[in-house]
Parts: sequence; C-alpha cells; structure tokens
Amino acid sequence: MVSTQISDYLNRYRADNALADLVTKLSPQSYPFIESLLVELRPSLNYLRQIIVLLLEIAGREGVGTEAIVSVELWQAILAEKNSRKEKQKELRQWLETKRYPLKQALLEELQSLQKSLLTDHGFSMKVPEELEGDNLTLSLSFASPGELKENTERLASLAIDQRLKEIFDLLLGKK
Amino acid sequence: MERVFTYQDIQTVYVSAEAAEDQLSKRILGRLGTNVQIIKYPSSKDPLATSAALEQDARMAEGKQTLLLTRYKGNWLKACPGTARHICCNLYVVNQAEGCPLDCTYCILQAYLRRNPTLKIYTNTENLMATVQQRLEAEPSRLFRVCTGEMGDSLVWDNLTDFSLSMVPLFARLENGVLELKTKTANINNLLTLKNEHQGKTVVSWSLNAKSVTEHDELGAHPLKERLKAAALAAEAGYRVGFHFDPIVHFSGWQDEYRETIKSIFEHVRPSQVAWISLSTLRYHKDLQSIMIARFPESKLPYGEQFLAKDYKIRYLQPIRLKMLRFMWQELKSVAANIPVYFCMESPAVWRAVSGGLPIAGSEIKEIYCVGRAGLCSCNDDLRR
Ligand code: SF4
Repeated sequence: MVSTQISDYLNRYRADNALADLVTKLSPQSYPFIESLLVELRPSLNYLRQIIVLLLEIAGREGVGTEAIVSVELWQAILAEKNSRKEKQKELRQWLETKRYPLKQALLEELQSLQKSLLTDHGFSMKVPEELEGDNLTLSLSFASPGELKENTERLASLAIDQRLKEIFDLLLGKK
Repeated sequence: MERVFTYQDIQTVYVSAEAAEDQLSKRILGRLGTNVQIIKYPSSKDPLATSAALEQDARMAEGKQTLLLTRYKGNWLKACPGTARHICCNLYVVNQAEGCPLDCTYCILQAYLRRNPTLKIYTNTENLMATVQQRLEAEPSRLFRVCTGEMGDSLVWDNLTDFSLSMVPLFARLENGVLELKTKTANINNLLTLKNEHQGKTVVSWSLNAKSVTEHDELGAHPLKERLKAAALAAEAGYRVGFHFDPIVHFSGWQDEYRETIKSIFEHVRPSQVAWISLSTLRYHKDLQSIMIARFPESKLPYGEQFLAKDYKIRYLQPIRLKMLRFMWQELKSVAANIPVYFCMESPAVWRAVSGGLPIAGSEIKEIYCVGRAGLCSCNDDLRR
C-alpha cells in the first residue's frame, strides 16, 4: 500500500497509471523520502517520474533496496543549502544521474573541461554530438569583416593541431 | 547456475488438425513420450494468445512449456530485415520453428511474441525444403547465406525433429547456398552423422559470451564449456564453425571475461576452421526493457550505461560501444590476423572507427558481405540497404 500522502499527491495532480505503477515498485521504506520530497520540493509529476525511475534503476544496478540510495544525511544537506527549490531539484537529479550513469557523467565532465579550455585558448565554442553518438563536432563562428574571417582562419588552424581536440575525438571514439 | 533445458520441460503439446497426420508431428510426439499432455486442437492459432498486458508475463512462462505443432503458410525464405543506415550482412532466414524454449534475459522474442507465446514447430517441412531449393535454383548467380536461428535456436529442437538431417544434405547439393545453424546448445548428434555429406556447405555457429553472462542471462542454454566442446566436435567432423558474440555486455571485469572466452575458443578450434565471428554490443527495443525487468528482476542488463537512440533502441553510449568492439576485434585479430570478424548491424562510422575500413576492404569477409557467388561477383555491391 502506497502511503496516503503519496497517493493524495498522485490523485490531486491526476498522475497516470504508469506513474502510479512505478511508485508501487519502490520499497515502502523509501516512502518517507518521497513524502519529504513532495513537501519540500513540490515537484511536477514529470520530475517525480524521473526521480523514481532513477531510484529504481540505481537499486537494480546496485542490487539494493530503493531506500538505501539517498541517505538521510545527503537529503538533509541538499535541503539545507540556500538554493531555490528548482536548484535543489536539479542538484538531487544530478546526484542520482551520476550514480546511475557514472561513466557517462565522467565522460561528460572530461569533455566539458576540454571544450572549456579550448574556448579559453582559441575562442571557439564547440558542441559534441547529442548523447555522444557520432563523430561530428560542431562549432559556429561569426565575423564582421573579411579581416575578421582571416583572423578566425588562423585561430582555426591552431585549434586543428591542438592535442586537446584530438583528445575529444579519442573520448568520443572510445579510444581512451 | 540454472539448469539446461530438456524436452521433459514441455508440459503440453497442442496438435493442430492440419498437422495431425504429418510425419514430423508423429515423430515429435513419439519422442516426447508419455509424460506430456497432448491436446488435439482444431485451429492453428496460438492457444495462449492474449492481448491483455497484465497476463503476458505469466503466459510467457507458460508458453515456454507449451508446444504447438502446426503448418506454416507464409513465405519460408526471407531476407533478414537489417537496420536502416547500418551495414547489412546479406543474410536470409528460414524459420522451421517460432519461439524458443531457452530463456535469455535479453531475448527480443519476449517482446516480439508476447501476445503469441506458445512455442511452435512447423510440420510441413517438405514444403520448406522445396521452397528453398526452388528459390536458390532460380537465382544461380546469387549466393544465399541462409540461417535458421532468427525466431529461435537452430538446434534446440533438432533431437526431436531431425530437421538438420534434411537441411544439411539439401545445402550440400545446392551450389549457391550456405546454411548457418546458430545455437546455444550442444545438440549436434545429427550433424555428426552427416560428417561425410555436408560438403562444407553448412556452418555451425555458437552464440558465445562472457562466462558470467552465460550463467546469469542465458537460462536453459548449455554452459559455455559444453558449447565449445560441441564446436570442437563439429569442426572435427569437417564443418566450418562460426561464433557470435551477441550481445557483448558491459560490466565490471568485462575485458578479462571476454578475453577468457576468446582464449577458450582457440583452445577448441583452429582459426582455419572458423568461418566467421560476429560482434555486437547489447541493444534492445525500448519495449523489451520493462519485460526484462519484470521477468528477470535479478538481471543487471537493463541497468548499463545505455541511452534511448532515435530508432527506439536502447544501446550503450558510443564511446563504451566502440571501446568494447575495438577490444574484441583486437583480441581476435591478435590470435589470427585473417580471422573473418564482422559487426552485426553497425554503422559505417563504427566500421571505420574500429576496423579502419568498410567490410568489403577485408577480403577474408567477402563471403559475408558479397551477394554474388565466388568468381561471379564484381564486389561493387551496395553494402547499405
Ligand atoms: S537462444 Fe536465442 S532465441 Fe532462444 S531465448 Fe536465447 S536469445 Fe532467444
């Protein structure tokens, strides 16, 4: 039986059957965390669904109950921060995503740091492919005169031989 | 470890009216013995068919113990559908059975056959043989690589049906056909009796994996060691053997376990006895995920570092996929540089990134990617469907 507080929330916001079904897959010991989440962060149904899916998948991955994933200390620490409700939501989701997809998060962090340092040194902002699928990087450049274009071309040439650019490709192609 | 499937696991056999007098039906019933409940069945429809989603998991389990003997009325020989924008290996499929009594956690048939879960064996095999023969003879310049393991395991029923006793000699006679029997069993007794008849036109292939995957996610299948022992016997009987690493799974320690499996292959067969080895990483249709979680709550396969791709399939992230394919490729090539290795349904970009070229570049895998018979083909065929 799902707790009254959770089922009231689902009824009030007319949650679909799929979400109601997901809630029943959580261990009853995780209900206090979900109840606290509903009170403190007042999430949308969509956000709630994302959090529950992450909890269930982490539990399946680690072979533990869903109650063991977010510790009381971690939850209190997120709530104690002087962030807005939305920021706290984001922080919780990011923490769970890192736990669910540790390699992906590590890859993204490494790519972001390379992209950032290339932007600082060469002035070009680069985009990696969506979901890291593919081997095409995108960069856009704008210029106000032929002279500016020429300057860009020179900077592009130095970017092309930068070792960090090769590292980005190596990461995307699983060579690292 | 789970136990291996045996024919005693079949509890009920439905015999459709049209199949009742077929010789194959009689043979199967005779071999199943008396411990099975036999039900005469007026129709050829799936007796466990259901559209109610809630019942499907229970029906699936029941379906694994229920067999329907019936006739097939569709097109026997079909081109494997492949995947858009992926390089296709020109395979044709023939299904003498539908559904599989083995129970791999990742099996796509769970989604595909969830409304019709009863195992089926088609008993009008003379018609199957005639269709295959006519089709191959009608296009003598085309090479047909024909596999029987699309809708189930090629050899799992062979000790009941003796299907291989007809198919192997048929392909031995057909100049432009190669038969591939793909299995996770060690059921090769019939094949061994055809030692002097197969003419090298049948490839017996085994789906292999890391040992822990075979133990936890391939329920009812023969253990890895027994598959490899069977491969050694088949190779000794003169068959070329194939291996399919499908699906390659990412888990902690995957390199060591896959390296170990690769090492074991070549402790059992020589590289020259290997017709081909295919590689594909775990991917599955989105619909399969919830079925896997419901039916196999202990399996870790649904929880890898995967994402939902545009084709609605869940795959590992590209950097992980490529790392795994490259590792497997290099390990295999380090044993024998010319061993024919190919990727099943991967994009040209993956081919380039891992092998350094498109499949046609490797002459050793022409047999797979070339649609023309040796000597009749210019090898300019479009590889992309
Ligand atoms: S052996 Fe093949 S067809 Fe049979 S359950 Fe496993 S994956 Fe499915």
